[in-house]
Amino acid sequence: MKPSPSAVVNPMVPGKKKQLFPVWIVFLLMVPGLLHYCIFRLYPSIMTAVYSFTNISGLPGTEWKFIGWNNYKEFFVLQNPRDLRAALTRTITYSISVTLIQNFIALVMAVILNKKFLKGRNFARSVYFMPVILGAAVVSSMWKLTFSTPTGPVFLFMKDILHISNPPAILANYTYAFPAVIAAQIWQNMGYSMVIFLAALQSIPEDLNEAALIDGAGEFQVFWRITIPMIWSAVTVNTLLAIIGSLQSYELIMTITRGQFNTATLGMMVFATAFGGNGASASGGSVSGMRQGYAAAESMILFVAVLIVTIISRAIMNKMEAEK
Amino acid sequence: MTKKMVSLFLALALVLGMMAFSSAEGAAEVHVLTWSNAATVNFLNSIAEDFNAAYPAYKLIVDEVPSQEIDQVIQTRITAGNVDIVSFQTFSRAQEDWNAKQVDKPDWQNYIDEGFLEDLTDKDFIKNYNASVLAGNAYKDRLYSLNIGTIAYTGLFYNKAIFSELNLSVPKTWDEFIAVCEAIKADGKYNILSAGAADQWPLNMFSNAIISANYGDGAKEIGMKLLTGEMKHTDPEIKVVYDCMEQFASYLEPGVSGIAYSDAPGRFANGNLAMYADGAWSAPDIDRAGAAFEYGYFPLPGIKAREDGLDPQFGIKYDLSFAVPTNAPSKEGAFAFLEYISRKEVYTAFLNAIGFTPTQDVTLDNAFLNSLAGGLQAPCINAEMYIYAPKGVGDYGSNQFSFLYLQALGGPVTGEQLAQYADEDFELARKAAESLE
Repeated sequence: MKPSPSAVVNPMVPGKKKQLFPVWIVFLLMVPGLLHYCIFRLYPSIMTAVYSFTNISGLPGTEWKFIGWNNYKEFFVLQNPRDLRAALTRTITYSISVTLIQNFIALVMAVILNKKFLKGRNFARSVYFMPVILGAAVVSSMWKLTFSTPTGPVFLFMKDILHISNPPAILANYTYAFPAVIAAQIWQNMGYSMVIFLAALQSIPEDLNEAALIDGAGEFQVFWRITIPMIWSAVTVNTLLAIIGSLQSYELIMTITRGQFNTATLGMMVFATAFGGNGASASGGSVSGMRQGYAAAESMILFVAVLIVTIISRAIMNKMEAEK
Repeated sequence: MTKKMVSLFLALALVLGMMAFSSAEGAAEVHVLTWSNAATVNFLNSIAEDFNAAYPAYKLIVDEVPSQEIDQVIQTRITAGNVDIVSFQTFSRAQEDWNAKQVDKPDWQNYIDEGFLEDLTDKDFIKNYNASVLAGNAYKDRLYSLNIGTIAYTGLFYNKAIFSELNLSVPKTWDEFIAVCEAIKADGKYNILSAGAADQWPLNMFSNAIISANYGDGAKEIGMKLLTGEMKHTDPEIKVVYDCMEQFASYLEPGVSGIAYSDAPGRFANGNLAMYADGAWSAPDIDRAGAAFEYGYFPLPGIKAREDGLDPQFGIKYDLSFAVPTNAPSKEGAFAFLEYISRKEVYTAFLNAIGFTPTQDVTLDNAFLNSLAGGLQAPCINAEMYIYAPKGVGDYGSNQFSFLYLQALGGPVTGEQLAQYADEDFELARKAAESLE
């Protein structure tokens, strides 16, 4: 019997066609996912770009009109230049710190938890992944309780164990609040990066490492010359995810410091402008949230910034992969 | 077969569970959205049954959110059209003709101008209130919210036992206040002063308290002149506020900037704190925290004694106001709730519970509230209602008079620097706004 033209090639048996199901069913099954993407991702993204040229307030049924580039002009002209530079610097610092530190810790954890001799590694993997599923509200509550004054454990440790006479309130301090939210972001997401690294490590054939060790290579040489090149695609994925996620991130900043104490980043500014509260300006100042057109413009500026950074990062990572 | 039975059972349990959570037939829900104030929330919950007895068609549901999130939640709930009563405070810092280019409209003004709040002016229950008092919170001579009470909030709670032990009396001038702080500091046994500074606003309202204590109703003119540039933060009349702020900050307990507002009344109730900076609304919270000592509340004094010979007076504001969104799902229920809360006996009980000064002509038997009478003979509307920040102003301008910038509290600048930077940021914002025209 001749195979149907729409039969799907069975990849497990090259060259032998086996009819699993017609191709039209494949496309049919893609429709819900495509619809979800178009309705909840593509359409809002396009409309954000459109609204960025309007004075829409966000209140339903209120009149709005196109105002051209005014929102963009306002962002670059009306923002205090000192504070805008500071917000951009903080955003870049946040992104670089989170990307480098999070991925480093995640890689180390993944390498350790990949060792077969380690007892309880499955349990450990679950524990390290748990912060990822906790959610911003729970994570921020934990960090706020930990660093609260004057009865929080960190404050008491500084006062009673380290004998610091006037311990700072970490989350309400202009010097320490920003590193603290970076630490919270890393703590919450390193489990996610670890899982991706772990999957990549487990795909490396064991005999490759064994052969290298037999040939006289040291552990570090095996790690650097064999393991890293083999998992480079995971490194690329984790790096890009961390960059994009941290550039847009606002949830933890919002819930821990509300953008105050020099913690407001571009992502926080977008949220606060759209919905009100602190962090709406580069200053972290508090304003009305009735300017969703302006928030959309901020969002587009952030999108362009993330896109540029992502393209550059991707090019660098690809070049490094080719060299390896 | 067993797997199929288990799957069927689980599916049935899920469906039954969903049915259980579906809304019950019967009374329509009236959702009241308010910020977390234990006295208000507890009272509203306590009258829910009586309200339902008075209006069987409606069931009161109190939706409570932390005070720093109330603005965002109000916007979300009004947009979603799923709230019947929304709580506001004073309708202040409106965009008017003279400042239209410099400030955005505050949220409440947007809601009213876009037709999202019902006009309550001609409702019958308004007649229960003192018209001249309600008029103070009107917008274009119409009432868009029902103001339940005014509150004194430029004062300090003080532990009478500590004051008695150290032979201290309530200060009537700023110098006397400093002397009290120094005496407590010299004694060394007690923390002098605290506030829920982690939330920023509980401490920052005291910079406005300093302005009101020194300028009273003159704060309105100061706010206008600072915005237009006629007055500067470095002018002597304003610079003195920053000086007082630095002195005030130096007596706050260590780690104050990390104390959450929700924890602060309890810290005062513990009895180791001589003074606590908060609004008079905190009295029920202090009682609830189990304060085992007598406490009082005195107005923050000005530098000079008052010319009219009165003791220092409080700055006040219109606190808790109930508004009805025009898209409320149970609008008639909302009006029923407002009518119910406006009945003399219910209103009196409410005010006794929350400790506000009434906007109806009623007599309260709240001993704490009655103790404030001396400071309420000639109160002023607190400076907070008049101090603007221009659009796009920088850090130091948008948070002008913010304690948490001060080096005394771990911030980056002195009071003098803060005043200077606020001026620079204001000037930059004015020039940027002009360049956009």
